Amino acid sequence: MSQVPQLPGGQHLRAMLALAWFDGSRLARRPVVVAALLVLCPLAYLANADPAWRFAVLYEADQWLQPLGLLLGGVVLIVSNLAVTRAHRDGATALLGVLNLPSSWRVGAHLVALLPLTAVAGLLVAGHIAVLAALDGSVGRPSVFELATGPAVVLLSGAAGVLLGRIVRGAFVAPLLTVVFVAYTIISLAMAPTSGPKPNWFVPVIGRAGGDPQFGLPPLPSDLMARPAGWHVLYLLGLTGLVATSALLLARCRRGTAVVAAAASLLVIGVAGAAQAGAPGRSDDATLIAVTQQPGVHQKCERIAPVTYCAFAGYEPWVKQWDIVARAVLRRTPAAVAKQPLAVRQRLDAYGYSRPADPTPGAVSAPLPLERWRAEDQAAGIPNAITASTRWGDGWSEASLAGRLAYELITRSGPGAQADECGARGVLVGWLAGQATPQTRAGLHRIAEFSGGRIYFAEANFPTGIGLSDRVTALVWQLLDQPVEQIAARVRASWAELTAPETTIERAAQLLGVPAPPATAPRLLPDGTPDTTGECA
Amino acid sequence: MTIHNKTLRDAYPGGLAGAGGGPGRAAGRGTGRGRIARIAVRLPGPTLRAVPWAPILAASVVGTGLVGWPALSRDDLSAALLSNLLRLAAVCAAVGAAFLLDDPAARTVQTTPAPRLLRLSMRVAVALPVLAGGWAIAVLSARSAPNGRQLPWVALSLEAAALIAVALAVAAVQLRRDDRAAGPLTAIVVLTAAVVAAVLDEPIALFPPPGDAHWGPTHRWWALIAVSALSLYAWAAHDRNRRRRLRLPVRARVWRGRAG
Repeated sequence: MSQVPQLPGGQHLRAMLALAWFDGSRLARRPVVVAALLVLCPLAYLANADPAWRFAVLYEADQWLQPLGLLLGGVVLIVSNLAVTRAHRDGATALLGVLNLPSSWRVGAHLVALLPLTAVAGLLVAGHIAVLAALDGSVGRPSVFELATGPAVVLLSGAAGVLLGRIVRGAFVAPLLTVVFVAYTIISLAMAPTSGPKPNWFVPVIGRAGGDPQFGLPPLPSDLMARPAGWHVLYLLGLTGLVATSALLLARCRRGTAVVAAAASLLVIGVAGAAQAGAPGRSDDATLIAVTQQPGVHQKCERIAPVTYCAFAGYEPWVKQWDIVARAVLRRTPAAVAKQPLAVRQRLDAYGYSRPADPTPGAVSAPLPLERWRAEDQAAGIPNAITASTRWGDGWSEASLAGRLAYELITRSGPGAQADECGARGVLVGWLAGQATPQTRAGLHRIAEFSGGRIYFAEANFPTGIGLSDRVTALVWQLLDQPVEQIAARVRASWAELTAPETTIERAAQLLGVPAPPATAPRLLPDGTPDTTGECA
Repeated sequence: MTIHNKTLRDAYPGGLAGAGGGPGRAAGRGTGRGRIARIAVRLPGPTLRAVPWAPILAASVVGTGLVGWPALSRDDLSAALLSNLLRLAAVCAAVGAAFLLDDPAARTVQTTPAPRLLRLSMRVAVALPVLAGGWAIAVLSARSAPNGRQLPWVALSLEAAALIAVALAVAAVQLRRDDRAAGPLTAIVVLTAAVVAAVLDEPIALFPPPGDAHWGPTHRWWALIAVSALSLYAWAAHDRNRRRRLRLPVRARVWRGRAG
């Protein structure tokens, strides 16, 4: 090496950039990278897509693409490793020795060549969030750090591929390491319930704070989000720095500079790692309990007569959506009923974020803070505000809001209503909810699918709800198949009798002009006993 | 002609065709099945030395470790997680198998009387016990976990076998195109296929959790995948040049007559 004439000052950098340009474009054109970007990532995205993407909560949607960063990162790890070991595979290592660009600069070129792919990942993430943000229904603000996590994982993986290529020449190491990477992530995601006390922030990608976007906890108000995303990105960048300087050191670069850079990276890893591990990762219990008991502190109310809507800061775009559903329910009721004041308030059970994930959904340790809710609603001049959740767009939330609103119109029982309906009231509530909008109707079917064929109007993620019996559910499906105006006229005509608690399902069927469904034998539980949940005497 | 290359010498125990010298005559002579049987008997030892052991052993160790370490160190792993870890171990084994057929001397040994299908299959035969041993340890450790006693290990082994067969088929096809090294590309194809299989959902889910309603039909698919991959391997591994010999130009036939 010492005989090879050195390039004059400044020429190294130009040669390295030229090499990086060549290698970067070669990396981006590799079939597996193109396949990952065009096929694998879209497939994986669609397989896990949140059905409520039209009404995305942007400070949660910014995490949706992070697992794809892991997928693309695995691919980049392999291709960058193949690029570094290419000379070895082709038996050209000795030939490269006569080049007057030292090997450390060539390794540097391989590292710089990762930037275009990282930029592509960044563009994908930015484009994704821009599309979601441009939709009318999206709420909240995305976090730049959460968005940067995916591309940072891609960069780190690529650098790891380069380092690996300097340590082991075998091309089999990178694919195996990728599998180990995946296994580690699977185990840590499955083992550390994300709603538990503390997720493991040292893995590259952390699942959503509330768990599964569809079945986990609903989003917290934005000012209660406390993921140490900024520290995590810094930690990933520190790791990347350490990996890159290690690769350069192995390629015999100038020792002094590299050691300083490695020490700086270690310092960043230490500080950011300690900060992310030490950060609470969630708001403290007192805040979570406070927002569960008195959500109004974080809310603004808006009156669209006759209904008042109170939404968490940032969720104002959803008021219009709630109003569409409310109006669709109200217009089927007699004028006198529709004129009475109503209120809708966003609530959620934020306790879930503080206790470890409970295996039985809906089992809440604390009783519902009904007293506090009532007091808060009274103080705000909107007694009996019914609950809307911090989710929208999944059908489920629409149907639940419509059902609870209809139940409130009939019973005026306020939030926290818990009932099993098997008479005329249940039929009316189910029909009013199902006919409101196409989304509520689809949501009704979705609810029935997930709760054993019965309709159940849940209250956000609280354990309370209004269940309809099997027969009532059957009659509701029957009514929804009839012409809406015809049923609506009969509902208005016999409103008083239909809303009376003692009216039976047979009488309701008679009033609404459809045959009553036959009495069904109770279903059997797996152990042979009859399933009586949701059935009335 | 003296053979200097160790791999080459090992891969072909009988010396190069017609090159004369020692045992080559005995093994290379004769025709038909008898000759192939004589070569096959002599092939395992040298093949053992010629197989690239590093990827095979690394794949076995990594695969065993990523099931065994969590399965033995904690007792709260669900059956679904354990079966997914076993699937990752199977992917590891397939990645190792992707490099199995790579032979730096491939271009030279193709002139030997040992048929290509025999040479490649002998590599599979000597490496398979190692992969199978690693897989057996992984399965045993998964089944020793509290939730793993009921793991359907036969079906999971079928998945692993199918993945390895896919790796071998892809490698053999790739080597037909370019006989230098099929490993890297094959490994990428195997990983991509595994990701696609993992992403596929409900009606065609290839990696369902144990106890899933689709478990039976899914494993009929796996059996189909294994059989198709093995057929593809057999087609891709047979010697393309062997048949062409019948239509060799006259000059070559004369040369062959002199040499053999």
